[in-house]
Amino acid sequence: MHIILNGEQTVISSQSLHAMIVEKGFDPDTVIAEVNFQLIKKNDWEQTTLNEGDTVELLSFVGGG
Amino acid sequence: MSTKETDDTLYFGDVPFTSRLLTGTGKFASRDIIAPMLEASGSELITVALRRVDPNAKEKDILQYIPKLVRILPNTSGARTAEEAVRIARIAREAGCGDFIKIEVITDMKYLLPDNAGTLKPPRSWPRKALSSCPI
Repeated sequence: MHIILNGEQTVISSQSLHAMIVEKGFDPDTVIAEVNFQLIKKNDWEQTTLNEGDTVELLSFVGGG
Repeated sequence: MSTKETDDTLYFGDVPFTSRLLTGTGKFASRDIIAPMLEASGSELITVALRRVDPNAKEKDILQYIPKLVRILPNTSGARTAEEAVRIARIAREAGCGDFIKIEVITDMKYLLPDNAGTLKPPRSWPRKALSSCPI
């Protein structure tokens, strides 16, 4: 399945948001996730199913300001 | 670190601060010195930015280096438009950073000069339950 992950076309084999985050090597404890510009709370990641063409943004807090 | 109210107490919204030193996090040589610096300086407010995750980054989330009693001031420096600034503000609040937000809209990516008109625009479109906005 293809999704747009942080602006890049990406192929994934996972069905859930949580599984995709793990599949792509991100740390689930430190990222914030949006699917199609809707913020998804961490408790809902495993129940959030990804679909072909979804736009996923993974964000985290960094130094700045 | 405790906040003692004095005649010189600074308030952002209804939150008191005894220190007027606001700390940025963009130039630390090591994140391990953030906590000792905050303790030594007495600064009670520290800025952070929200960015797309870099899968190659080796350091942990910066929030893990900031003592719990220090108030987080997320900024919207990643925003190019007022709408993006509002989006970042909402994400930061949902992510547990509280109701503070430092508004920045930056369109000059070479010198990082703020877009003043864009920076002043977001509060008009804040959600009804507004955040404490703090353009600096």
